[in-house]
Amino acid sequence: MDFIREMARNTNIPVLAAFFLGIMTAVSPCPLATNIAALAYVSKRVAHRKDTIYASLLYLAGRVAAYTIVGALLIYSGLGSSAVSRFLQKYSEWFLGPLLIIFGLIMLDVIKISIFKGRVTAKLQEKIGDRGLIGSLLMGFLFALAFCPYSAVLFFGILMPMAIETTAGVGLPPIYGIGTGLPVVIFAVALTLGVSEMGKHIERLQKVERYLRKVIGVVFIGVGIYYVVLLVKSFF
Amino acid sequence: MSMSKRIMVVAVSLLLLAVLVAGCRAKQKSDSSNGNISKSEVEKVELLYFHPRIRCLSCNNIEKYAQEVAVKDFSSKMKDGKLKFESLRIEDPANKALVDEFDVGGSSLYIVASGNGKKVHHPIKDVWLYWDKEGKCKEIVRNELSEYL
Repeated sequence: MDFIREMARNTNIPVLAAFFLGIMTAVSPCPLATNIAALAYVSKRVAHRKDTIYASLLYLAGRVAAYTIVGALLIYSGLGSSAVSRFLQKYSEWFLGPLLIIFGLIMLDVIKISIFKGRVTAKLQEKIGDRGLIGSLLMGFLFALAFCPYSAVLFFGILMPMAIETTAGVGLPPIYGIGTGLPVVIFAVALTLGVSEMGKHIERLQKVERYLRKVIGVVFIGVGIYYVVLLVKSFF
Repeated sequence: MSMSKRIMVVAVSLLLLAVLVAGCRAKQKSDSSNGNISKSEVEKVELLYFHPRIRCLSCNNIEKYAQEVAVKDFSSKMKDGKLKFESLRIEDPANKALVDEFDVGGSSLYIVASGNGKKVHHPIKDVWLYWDKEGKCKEIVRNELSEYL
């Protein structure tokens, strides 16, 4: 961890600083909670290695896209970094907790929604909806924009000033995004590798997968409650 | 590997390389302070901690460590009134002028040194990388304050 801190703080190679700032963001309290929820989600078909790897890479891509867009907006549009930071923290404050709880209730089938109903064939629903690929991409995008005060300091307070001062610094936010999502990819891949060793017990794994959706729902609700409690506590 | 997959791999690799090269120029040092003031000119130092309403462990730690350094390591300066520590909530309308003056975007720690007609804002950024290391965090704050006191 000290190595990560020193790399994030003390380098004349902005790309490395950006990457390690991303890693620091990923393991700090609030982003860690959302990354745990994301890991649970991308691993829901853990016995299907390709699906888990694609889902985790799409989650990473969603995060990279979000930070790239925000970074480019700040660099090219002249929008005030502090105003954008305060706006996004407000979004996180009010929406993230309830959103996670609702998503958890959907996973538990307490709330039933089918966005593909009557619009695409059942085959497409199975390929995309059930495999969670689009969900992973959207989740990465939304979670990246859910800045907490600490991740806002790292992105808006440390990374963006560095990006603005660096030639072609618009390349730094995507690198930062890779750092924030990489732990999820690594853990998801590790999970699938561990699971593949149990290939003989594939029937048992498939039974576990059915219950995994419920576990994921509970994880999402738990993380959502954490954010809601933080919000409620702030008023007292 | 099919041709389309090869093209995709090459394209992604080139993109990554472009990003790597793009971000590789050494950053230009810029003065993060607003002007310069020497130690002998300093008459008053404020250690300001801005925070939003919602905070978690990392932000609470930074406030606690910064305040402890001011109160314990610079107690004589605090008694003289030469050093002041303030914790300011960003959403509080009473702090709006300061929030606008510092263009605060979220949790932040600033040293404001004034004297001889000058006023300097100096953000302390490195503390945020050590929110969970009390000793290192306090060392950073102490060293930064020592530049002015």
